[in-house]
Amino acid sequence: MQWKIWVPVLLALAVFAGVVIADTATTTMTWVVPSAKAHTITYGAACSTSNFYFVESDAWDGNAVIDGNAVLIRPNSSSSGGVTTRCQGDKLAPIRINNTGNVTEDINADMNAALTGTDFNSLVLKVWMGTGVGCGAGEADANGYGGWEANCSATGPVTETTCYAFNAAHAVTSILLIDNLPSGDTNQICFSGDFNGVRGGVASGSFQRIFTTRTN
Amino acid sequence: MAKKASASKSGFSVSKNAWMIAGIVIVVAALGLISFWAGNPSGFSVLMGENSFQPASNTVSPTSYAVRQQYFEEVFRPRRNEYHLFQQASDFLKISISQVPAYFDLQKESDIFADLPAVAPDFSETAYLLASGKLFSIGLLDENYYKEPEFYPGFKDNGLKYWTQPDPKYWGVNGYGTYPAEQSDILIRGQREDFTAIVFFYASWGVQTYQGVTISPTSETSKYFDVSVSPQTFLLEPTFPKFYKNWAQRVVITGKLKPDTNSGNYTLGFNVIVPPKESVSVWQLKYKSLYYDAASSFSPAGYPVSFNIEVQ
Repeated sequence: MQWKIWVPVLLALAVFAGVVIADTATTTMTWVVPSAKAHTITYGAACSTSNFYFVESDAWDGNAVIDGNAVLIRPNSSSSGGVTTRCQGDKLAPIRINNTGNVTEDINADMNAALTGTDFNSLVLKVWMGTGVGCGAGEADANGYGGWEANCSATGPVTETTCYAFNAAHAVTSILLIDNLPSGDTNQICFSGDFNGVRGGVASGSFQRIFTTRTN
Repeated sequence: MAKKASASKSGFSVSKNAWMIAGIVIVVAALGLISFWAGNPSGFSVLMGENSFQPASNTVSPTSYAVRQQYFEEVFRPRRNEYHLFQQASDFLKISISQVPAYFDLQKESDIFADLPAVAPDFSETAYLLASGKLFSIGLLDENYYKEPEFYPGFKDNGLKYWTQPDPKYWGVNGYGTYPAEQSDILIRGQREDFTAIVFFYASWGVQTYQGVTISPTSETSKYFDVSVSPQTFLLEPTFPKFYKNWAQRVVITGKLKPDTNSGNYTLGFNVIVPPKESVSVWQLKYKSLYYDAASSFSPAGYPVSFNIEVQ
């Protein structure tokens, strides 16, 4: 009988339709004009989220002795430091943020995880905006310290010549770093990891600190 | 009767048919050349050995089409054979175009899009409707839409630059996008107390890594709504130097009013957080130096995904 042929066909169609329907969803939401919030973070040279070290022997301030009190230390992709693995200079920024969406964005920084466990007299992470080419010059003969200040003066968005200081005693969560970054635009972020003294006496050994842009 | 003089008398004989064929070949070649110059304004200079490539603009103007339907079909249409990314990269880097594939670790330009699904026939019109704020049933859109980079605003203006103006001093480690990032709904107690949303989550342009993503509602959101995110944890694959198969993900977010949620306006926020250790360890082992968490210390302010819900 012919209907016996159609039964399995209809069953197959019903199953197929079920599969197709299950893969779709009836949405209830609306919008005026859909916004795409998107960003790309690029790193200079070989630096990355986890390869981002401040090594005291890299300090430019002439105080490269490893005793925990040097300043003007550029990020390095190697925990051993060194010239060839630096990722910051007057023509190189360690981090760039590109707004790849279709809306103007503010860029926040959350350093809570990076500085957890660091006491007040330990690492002070100074952050400023790059020049578009790199991180400026700054101190005489130094490259990449254009926005470094002994005492950072930025309280909000940073500039090419003013920095914001993150440390365990200073606000580190949801800090407005860059305001109004237009769609398609890119800003550079520059750093110095300053060691602000030791905990009683001169310590031996290395004072490498790992700065990670991971949030865990 | 004298024999008719033969053309072969001089030792050179060309038949009538041969002349006709030669004439046809010359005309066809001329037409082809004219067509080439017409479609490629720099064609003549290219033939003369000058490197003055002028890429076609990626901007499609409605005033170019008397029939607006044509504009709707063109404005978002992927025109990948017209991007000429490698030629532009060659000009920018001042290297021979033959060196460009190796520069990007690819075989040819089409490799950039080779792993993507086929573009839907009505892709351009659909993407246009969505971008214009006229299409809301995005739950019906499959990967033939949301896994095409041209689906997302800004790809042609911002995304193609990663190939046409590459800068080897930098490499893309993190970055993601959400679309539509901000959505709205009205819930009425006793009538409709739940919502369903779709958000397309994608690795941003130029990212070379595999990014682990977990989407988490804020505590405030969970205080007033029971929400579900599916999938909650997933991996975004790279978008550079080519688009990998799973560079974009469709996320379904559903929510229901809690019994004691009062009337009012609520902003539901969803953050990107570090995935569970079990997932991270698997991905780290598989992708090694190219695995990173999508969550970063630097990110756009506000929530990557937010819903404005009015409860009546």
